[in-house]
Amino acid sequence: MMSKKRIVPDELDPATRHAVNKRLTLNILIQGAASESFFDVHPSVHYDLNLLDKRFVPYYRTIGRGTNLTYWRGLLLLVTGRPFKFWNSLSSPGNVFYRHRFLRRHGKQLAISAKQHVLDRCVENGLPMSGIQNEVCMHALLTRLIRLEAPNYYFLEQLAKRVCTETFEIAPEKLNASITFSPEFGTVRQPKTRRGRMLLHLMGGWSGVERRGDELIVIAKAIFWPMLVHELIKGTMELICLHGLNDLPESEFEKVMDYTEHVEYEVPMMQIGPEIYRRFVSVLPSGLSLAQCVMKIAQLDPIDLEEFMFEMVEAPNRATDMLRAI
Amino acid sequence: MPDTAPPPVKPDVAPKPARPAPKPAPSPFEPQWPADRPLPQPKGLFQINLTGHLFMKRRQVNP
Repeated sequence: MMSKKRIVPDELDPATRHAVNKRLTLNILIQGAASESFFDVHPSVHYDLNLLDKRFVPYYRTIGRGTNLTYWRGLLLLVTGRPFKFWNSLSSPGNVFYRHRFLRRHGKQLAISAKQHVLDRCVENGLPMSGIQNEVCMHALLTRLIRLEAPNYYFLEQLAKRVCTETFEIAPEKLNASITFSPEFGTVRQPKTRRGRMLLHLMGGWSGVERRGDELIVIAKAIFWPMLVHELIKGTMELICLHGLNDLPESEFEKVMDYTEHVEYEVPMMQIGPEIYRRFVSVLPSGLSLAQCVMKIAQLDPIDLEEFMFEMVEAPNRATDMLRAI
Repeated sequence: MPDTAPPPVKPDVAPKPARPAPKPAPSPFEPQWPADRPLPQPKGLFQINLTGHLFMKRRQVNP
């Protein structure tokens, strides 16, 4: 007997659904850009970090890679859930990406590549592959780092801003960065699930955009330096991606936010995001800055953005042509 | 001198109005955001590990 697939009607009208999918795509790219910055220390600050202490660069590199591993293996999964339980269920109506065509087609394969990339980078660094061993290693390293960083907060904050300025060519005056043990700010939707509530207590960094007078500026707060860089990159990407939200009608904007801005969604986005971001960077045409390219795709119509994402994975050269033509 | 035809006389056409200067491309870092619209909520990053989280909580209590 043939099995019948259950068809679940969409509660959103098609235009809103497209807008929701567009924001989910941009959120993945935002999280991906930030997580990718974790894999290494930006070369432009090696010299200054070495002047502060020669242990910073190797420690930061190790902690960044180990952190990316915790999204796939280790105790954090007790809270976030098993990654491939999520990525294997993309065609189930309960999955948050069920109605996202690009992720339904490519999500699982991209997740496999993303995990492999993390494992390869950890092997390069001689990091333990076991989640528990990684947990112990990260804890020991974090304890040492906190002591090393304490007298250098001001310089480290300036260096984090420099990394962000060199990545995006954004003016440093638009960046507000601080290393702090209380990184919370702004108002966040109360999670509806127990997992979300637990995640909210586990946050070690926050970033976003705030209005100061007539200007929009990036706020980033985190408990130590690599996380601060991560937050600055994420906040700057968010600022650029506002170009894709400002033309939505008011009622649609609120609905899109309700369907996309949840801490629970950040887990799969951090897992798959770096892989998608690397592919995005690989199709950038010469002569355009990273910030300009992010703005261009943020301004795309949702269907065109979806087409761009498909091309980026299936025919990268065509994605480059699309970006050049926008 | 060869008997050549005089050059054609251009009709007296009014000059085209100058094209308006192209709009400067918007800055990626200056999105136009409606003043009365809330900005998206901040995005978080989880503590790197569970034991690290407990360590931080203890540090917050006993700095």
